[in-house]
Amino acid sequence: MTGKVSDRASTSSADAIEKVTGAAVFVSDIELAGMLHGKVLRSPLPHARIRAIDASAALDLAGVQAVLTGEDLAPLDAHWGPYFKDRPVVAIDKVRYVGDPVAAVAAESEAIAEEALDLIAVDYDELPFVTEAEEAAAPGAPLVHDDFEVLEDFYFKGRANPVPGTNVFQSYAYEHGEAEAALAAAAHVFEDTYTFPMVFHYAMEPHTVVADYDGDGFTLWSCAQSPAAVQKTLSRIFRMPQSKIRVISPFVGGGFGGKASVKIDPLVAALAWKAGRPVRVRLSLEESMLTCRRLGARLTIRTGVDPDGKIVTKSVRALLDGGAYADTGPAVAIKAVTRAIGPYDIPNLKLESTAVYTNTVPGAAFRSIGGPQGVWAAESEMDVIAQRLGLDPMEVRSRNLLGKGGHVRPDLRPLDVDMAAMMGMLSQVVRQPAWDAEEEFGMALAATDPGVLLASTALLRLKADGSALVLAGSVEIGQGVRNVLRNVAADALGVAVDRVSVAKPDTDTSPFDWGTGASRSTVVMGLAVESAARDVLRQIGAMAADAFGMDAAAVRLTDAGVSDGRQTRPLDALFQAIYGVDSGEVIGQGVITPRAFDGKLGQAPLFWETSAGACVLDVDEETGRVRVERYVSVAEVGKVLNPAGAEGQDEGAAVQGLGHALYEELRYANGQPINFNAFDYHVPRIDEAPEELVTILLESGDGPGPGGARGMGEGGILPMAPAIANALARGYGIRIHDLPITPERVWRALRARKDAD
Amino acid sequence: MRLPEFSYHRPESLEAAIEARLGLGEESTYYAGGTELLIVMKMGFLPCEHVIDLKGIAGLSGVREDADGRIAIGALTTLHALATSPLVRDRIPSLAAMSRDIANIRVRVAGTIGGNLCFAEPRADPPALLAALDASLELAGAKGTREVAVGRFFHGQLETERADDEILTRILMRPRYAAAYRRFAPGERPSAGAAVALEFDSADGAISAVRVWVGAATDRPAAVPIVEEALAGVARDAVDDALAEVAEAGAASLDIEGDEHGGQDYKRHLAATLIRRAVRAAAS
Repeated sequence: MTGKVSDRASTSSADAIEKVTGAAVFVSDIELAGMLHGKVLRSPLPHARIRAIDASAALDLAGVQAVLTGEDLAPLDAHWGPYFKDRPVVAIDKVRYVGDPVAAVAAESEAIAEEALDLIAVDYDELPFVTEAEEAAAPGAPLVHDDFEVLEDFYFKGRANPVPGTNVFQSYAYEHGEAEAALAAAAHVFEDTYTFPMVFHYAMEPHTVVADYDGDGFTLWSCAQSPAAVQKTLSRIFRMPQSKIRVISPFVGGGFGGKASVKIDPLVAALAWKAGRPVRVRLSLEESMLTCRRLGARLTIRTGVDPDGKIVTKSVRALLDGGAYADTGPAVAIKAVTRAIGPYDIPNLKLESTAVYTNTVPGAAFRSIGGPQGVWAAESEMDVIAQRLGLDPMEVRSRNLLGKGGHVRPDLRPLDVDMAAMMGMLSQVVRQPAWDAEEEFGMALAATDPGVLLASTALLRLKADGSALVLAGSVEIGQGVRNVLRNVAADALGVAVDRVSVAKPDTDTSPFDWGTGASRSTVVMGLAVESAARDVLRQIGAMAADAFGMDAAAVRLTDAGVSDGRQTRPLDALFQAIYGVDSGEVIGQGVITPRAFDGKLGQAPLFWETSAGACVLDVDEETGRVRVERYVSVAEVGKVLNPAGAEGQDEGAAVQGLGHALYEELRYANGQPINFNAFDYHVPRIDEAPEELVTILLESGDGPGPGGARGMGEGGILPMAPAIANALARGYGIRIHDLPITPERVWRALRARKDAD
Repeated sequence: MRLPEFSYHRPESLEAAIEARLGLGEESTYYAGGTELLIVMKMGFLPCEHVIDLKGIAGLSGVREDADGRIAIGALTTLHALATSPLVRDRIPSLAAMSRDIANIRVRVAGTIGGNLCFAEPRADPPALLAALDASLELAGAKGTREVAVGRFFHGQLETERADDEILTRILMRPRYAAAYRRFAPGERPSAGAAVALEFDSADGAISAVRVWVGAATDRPAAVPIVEEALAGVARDAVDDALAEVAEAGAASLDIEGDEHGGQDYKRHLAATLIRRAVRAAAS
């Protein structure tokens, strides 16, 4: 064993009382004087040219203040996106999916704005459309975009690799060893194809933004996970200095990547700019479903295995459905195949990934980008191999598992966790009598490389009364980052937790942070806060040496004030000695870049996010209904900094994975979305969650973050679907290749097996 | 999704409500719990300028036992009230159990049993069970009051025997059956449901009356006479043998179409499975 199991001790949540009493402020709670309400007119067609828009009747409606259409964008740099400038603020000339914003109305009330939408006449010229990735990738497919305007190092490092004249916006290849030659020589060869549908984030809070343009600059209250990206994108669209654009982040009601990069902020800002008054746009759940979703994927895995069950070669080919605008899809395409490698020693490896535009809702980042798609295929296939070779699923994995320090890919940081220890925890749980007595378990492992950018700065302001304020751009999206940063600051300063506050992110006061995602805030912003605390202590030490002759290097903060171990003085006395009055503050700064700590953090990934999961099922063989009776999730998180939050993150990820596994799929027919509403799109309810859900957080203490922490919160989503499919294969003799694992699919597979028997 | 503008009427008597509906004509609708109505209005599927709220009329909710032993359920009784009514739980436990499983608590505290029946959404639970329980519906209209058997009330998707001016006032039934309802609902609404009501001869314990109905998988609840015939006169402990192949034959006799909720063969299989399960539960 490399670590100890979290002791489950819990600290009180900084925002629990506010949220329980309803006092917590979310964007939809923001009311500004003179604020208008915006509604968005959306394309009813999957692909069409806009011949004309007549908004005169809408403008005549009492209470309507402005209608924004593509014509208004002429003075702006109207196209934006993280990899390509492929998305207009509002449709210009053409719509590319059902739901594409065509116009936006600002009115005195939401009801008036919505009524006005019906009065806008749009004359469309329908174009051929394509909603399936396979068709979009085929020669002669209708082109969703005519060309590519590529950006570099804009949001993620690097650039996408599109194929001009096609719908392919990303094409990626990687190889080490001789994958094809090794396959030809392998004793056993396996080839299977798995599919993962597009699924919706389903944050409880739909996308909501308030924008205010004062003639000089913007203030936005935004649900964005990446305020800095919003600021930069708006700065380019409106040709305005970044310092004139202020983004404030109240509590956010769930993100899961659906609010990462940039989503509705440009549209809302442009509407406020047109209206000359503040505007709030609060999407409905159905509109959020028309805003972004996870990329659907088809993955084919070919594996060559030697007679002992050792993998000698593996190739993964993926095709991803990126929707109408690429967003962060190019990164998802790379991760989908990289995350299909697994924590295994694979001497010959080939990865190929292609992502295409289709006339569907834009794909986007979603909790472990590409991970669920890749791990679904890869870990299903591991059990296919085990079954064919007559090996136990743990045994086949053991024979291939990388040790700590082993290389998933030679160009990536060596694996920094002990996966065998994690699998050992699974093994202990599934052998417990309550589990063992039931059914054959199914399991899966995952090792993913978070796309963590080292770009965070924090400020820490220590006041003369010994209280401290953390200024950091990490957005509280329900993951508990404010608690974590408060705990990190208190520990690093050596003061009680209740003396530390964490300010609401505000780009006017919070220093630059790349964004909240990729499990990065605990580690990267945590390190920035820790550095800022050290900077505070350095300054306090210098002041105490100057004022009282203390030993600067030995100076610490204590409950009594400052002390170097020999003498102790109240903190306000220190400020009095320096400033002449007993007030003031010290501001510490912590900056994390790839060069920080002598470049030790620079190699990607900053840490490996790993997970292991196992389940036993309750299957109704007559109806095909599958329930996960028990589930165990193991994560190696280095160090738990916020126990209740960490456990909640892991459980939440597992249950979100359960939705992907059993229920969720955004469906299209004839270019039209057919189940984009809460009636027809089912996510797990509490009575569908596993009866027993065990979370085990291992703490090796050697992660790169504060106290040896690693990032977490994404890995728990990964093992669920393959673990369920593997349990079905072991217990019921059926292999499901396509998600979701619906009752009808299970029933058909069972019937086919019985017919074959 | 916003509610279109409409005039709201809240009559305090049946007569006034019926008069309002006749006077306002096609552009008006009765309104009970609203859990179905308000959604279709928001989606623009039901243009209507006048909404006549029935909740101002006294005496349309609650469960009573008549002097002659019939159970009378007021049409405005909520699904939650049905699920928790001591009288229903004691006399018609299958109805209480079915009501408890419908949708979610927010729907059950607002949605009414009468509204559910009159809306005639095919993918609903109450129609098949009430048909199996041989309940009848009391309809009050301009021409007077009449009773219609639940089994004859549904004409098809969103279509019923009820005339535009008629108001469903009570659901009436004799609590004579041992009954059970089994549903399959992987999402918000059932994709199939089967209801079985049995009466046993007290002397020899054999089935003396049997009613088997399927809902949700069909456009309207449908009786399954093949299964009813096979079970007639069968001893309580012999129902399994009597069922043998007959549930499949019964399901095959139904007008079940494949759709996005399942292929035709799967839905038929579900219906057969649920029939078997409901029969066993009712007989146990």
